[in-house]
Amino acid sequence: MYRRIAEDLRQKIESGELARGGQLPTELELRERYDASRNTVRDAVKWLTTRGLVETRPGQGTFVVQKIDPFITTLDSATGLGGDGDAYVTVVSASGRTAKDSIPRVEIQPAVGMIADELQLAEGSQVVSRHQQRLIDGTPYSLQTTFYPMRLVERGAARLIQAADIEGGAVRYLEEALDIKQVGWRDRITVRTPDATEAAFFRLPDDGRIAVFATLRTGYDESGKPIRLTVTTYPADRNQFVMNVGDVPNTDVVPRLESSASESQSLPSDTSGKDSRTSLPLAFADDPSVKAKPW
Amino acid sequence: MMPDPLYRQIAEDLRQRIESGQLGHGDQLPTELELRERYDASRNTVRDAVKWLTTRGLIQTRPGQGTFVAEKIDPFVTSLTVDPATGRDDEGPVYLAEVTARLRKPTLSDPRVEIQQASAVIASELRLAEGSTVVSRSQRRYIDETPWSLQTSFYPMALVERGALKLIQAVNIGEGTVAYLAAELGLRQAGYRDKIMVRAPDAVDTAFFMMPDDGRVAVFEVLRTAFDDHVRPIRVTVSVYPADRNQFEVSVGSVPRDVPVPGGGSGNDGEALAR
Repeated sequence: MYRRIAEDLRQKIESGELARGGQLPTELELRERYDASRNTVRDAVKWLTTRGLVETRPGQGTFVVQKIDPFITTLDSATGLGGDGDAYVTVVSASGRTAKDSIPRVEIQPAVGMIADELQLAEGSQVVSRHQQRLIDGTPYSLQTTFYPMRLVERGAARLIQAADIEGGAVRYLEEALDIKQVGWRDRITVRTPDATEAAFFRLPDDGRIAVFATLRTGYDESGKPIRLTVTTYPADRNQFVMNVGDVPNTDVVPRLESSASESQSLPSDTSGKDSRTSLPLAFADDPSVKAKPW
Repeated sequence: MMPDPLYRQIAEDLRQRIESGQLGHGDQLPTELELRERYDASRNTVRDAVKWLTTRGLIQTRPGQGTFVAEKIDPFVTSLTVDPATGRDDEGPVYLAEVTARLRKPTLSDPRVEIQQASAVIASELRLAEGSTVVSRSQRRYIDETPWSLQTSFYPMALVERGALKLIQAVNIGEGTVAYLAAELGLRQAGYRDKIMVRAPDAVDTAFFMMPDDGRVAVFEVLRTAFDDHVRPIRVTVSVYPADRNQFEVSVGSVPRDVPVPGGGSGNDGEALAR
């Protein structure tokens, strides 16, 4: 019974019938509406609370949780050099939002476990880590740490160990300074409960009910050697990912820059789904079932 | 910063022991009394620590037996970047081959086929008017007999009208739907877009995946829209994967096929360059 009530309320929240930020009917009202006992109603509210759909504010009542406007990160090359600072800021600004990164915190540390594995270094080799907090519109959206083998610094990439932004991004810098070109990367995407640092920074509830994406990106140079490893955590309540393979239409999820609009002019822009592919191929146009619509 | 409360310190210590392998998966946790002595803590503090670990799925209490470190599920890594012309169709040989290649055993249920009106999301992805007729084909997928993912593909009804009649038969399309649509209608899958998000499981997910009912294990939801040569959507596939047993991989550009064994053989060039 409590699950049915919870499911009904959930649908009302998702359809917008119960507005985000709005107050839930009181316990008494819910008991009357569903003809249910106090305990049943409480169980239903608890079920919704656990799932982060409603929250109880002491002395005020129970409210539908405000949804954080999600940010969509593109994992393929459409947004440039893979998680690199500049590309990221550009993409966020293009969506009309403001990105702010903290000054990087730079550490030299021995590579252990997964970091050594991914960079193909002996356990305990020295690595440089550059750590940044990333905010969008003042809200914390991700935490990012990039590890570089110390040999890159020894070979002359001295800016890697400076606690300042690398203008143009580290990928471009490595190419300019050392002629090391990142030609590809591999991402591993996992989901787990946040640790204490993440919960504090992202202001997540302490019960672990909001998971975080943890992505591991390893970048490779032309010889197939790993040149960097970026570990990024993103709370799942405000982040989504998109991945394009092969030919896909220009998209509503990859924000477009004014300046890049000229490049994409020739591509169909179909964000509304209503442009109906004015140049339907003949085979489709002949089909009576698809005359009015793309299909 | 305030120091963490004692129960959190205890929980964190136990968590590290579990993650380092000091406490093995499936092992019994020390008893409450032992924990109280080891950490010099009150009963309530120890209980709070145990509760914190339970909520995170790291340990589980079996009534009458004690508390145990949760068994770890060997995760399956799904690649999101494969050749669009052949790859990742919904019920085909590619999936079976991908799982078998890793010496694990894939099983697919027969598809459940429904004719329905496109929801707002599906309609928008397929660029149909909301409420247009679509065919949905759902499948339950298992690895080593464990429920692993739930997948539903939506196809515009126009494909059936044009002759792809197998789409509305409740049997597996042996060659895979990507190959079938290419052969039957000359529709080549030229690309796809994945949208990846995470949400709490709904009732159907919880039951099928045998997940804890408290919503603490999240599910990945991957929405794949596939496009033909004319960049028109052919299908939308919605797949649900519990986060406790699934990971994803994306390769972009030129990436070595097999990452060498960690440490082994790589010390060479690393050292040579460093000195």
